[in-house]
Amino acid sequence: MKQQIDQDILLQQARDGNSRSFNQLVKLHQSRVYSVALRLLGSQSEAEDVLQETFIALYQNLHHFRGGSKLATYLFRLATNFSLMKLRRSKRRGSDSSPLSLNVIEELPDKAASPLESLLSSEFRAVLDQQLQKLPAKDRAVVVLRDIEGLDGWQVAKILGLTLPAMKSKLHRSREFLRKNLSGYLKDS
Amino acid sequence: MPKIISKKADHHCRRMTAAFSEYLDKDLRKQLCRKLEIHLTGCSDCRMYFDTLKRTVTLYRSLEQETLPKDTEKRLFATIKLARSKGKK
Ligand SMILES: [Zn+2]
Repeated sequence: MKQQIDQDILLQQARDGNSRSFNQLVKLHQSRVYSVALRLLGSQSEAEDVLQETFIALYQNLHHFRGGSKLATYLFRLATNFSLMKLRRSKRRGSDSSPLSLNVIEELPDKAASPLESLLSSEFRAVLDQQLQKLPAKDRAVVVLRDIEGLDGWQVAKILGLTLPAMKSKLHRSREFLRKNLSGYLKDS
Repeated sequence: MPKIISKKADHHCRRMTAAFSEYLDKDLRKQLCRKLEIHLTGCSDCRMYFDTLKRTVTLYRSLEQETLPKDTEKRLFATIKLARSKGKK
C-alpha cells in the first residue's frame, strides 16, 4: 500500500517535470518490462529496444496517463504490444495461425534431480524458456503475462485484445503444449 | 490429452481436460469443480494428465524476473536523457 502511495507521488512529480522522480519510476519497473520483452522476443538486443521504446512512450504520455495503480499494467501493455509488433515485422517465429508442433526436447539436461529441485539451475530455466519460444507469439504472451508475471486473466485478455474465453482457451492450449514438451521432466519425480 | 484411454471414455475425458486450466486457476464453477474432482478420482489417465499440467504451470509460475544487465540500464537512462533534452527544445 505504501509503495502504491509512493508511486502515485512519484508519478505526480514526474508529471510536474521532476526527472529524478521519473527515473525512480523507471527503476521500479525496468526489470519487469525487460523480462517480459525478453521472454516474448527471445533476444537481448530486441528486448533492450522494447525496454527503451516502452519508457520513452511512458515519458511522452505521462500527462495522458491517469491512475497510478495501473502503471504496471500500462507498462505491460506497452511492452507486450511493442514486442508483438516487432515479432510481426520480423516474422521469424511463424504466425499465430501456425499449428502447434509438438517437439521433443532436443537436449535433455540431467534428469536425476527432480524438476522442482533443479528449479534454480539455469540449465533448466533455459529449457523452460526454450519451450516457451516455440509457442506462437500471442500464445506465448498469454503464458508470460498470466503464469510468469501473474496478471489476472481479464488483465491479460485486455492487454492482448482478446475476450476472456479466447484468452482462457489460448492459455490452456499453450499450457498443454508446454506440458507435452516438458513431459520428460515431469514424470517420476 | 491422456494417451491411453478407451474410445468410450475418450469423449468424456476430453471434455474434462479442457477444464483443467480453469480448475488450476480456480476459475471453475463449484458444480463443475466437483464433477472434475470426482472424475479425477476414478480416472488415472486424467489424474496423470492433471498432475503434469499442474507441475508445468507451477514451474512457469516460479520463473523469476530476468535481471537487467548494467549496460542495458545505462543505455536506457541515456536514451531517456536524450528524449528529455529533445522535449525541452
Ligand atoms: Zn479421464
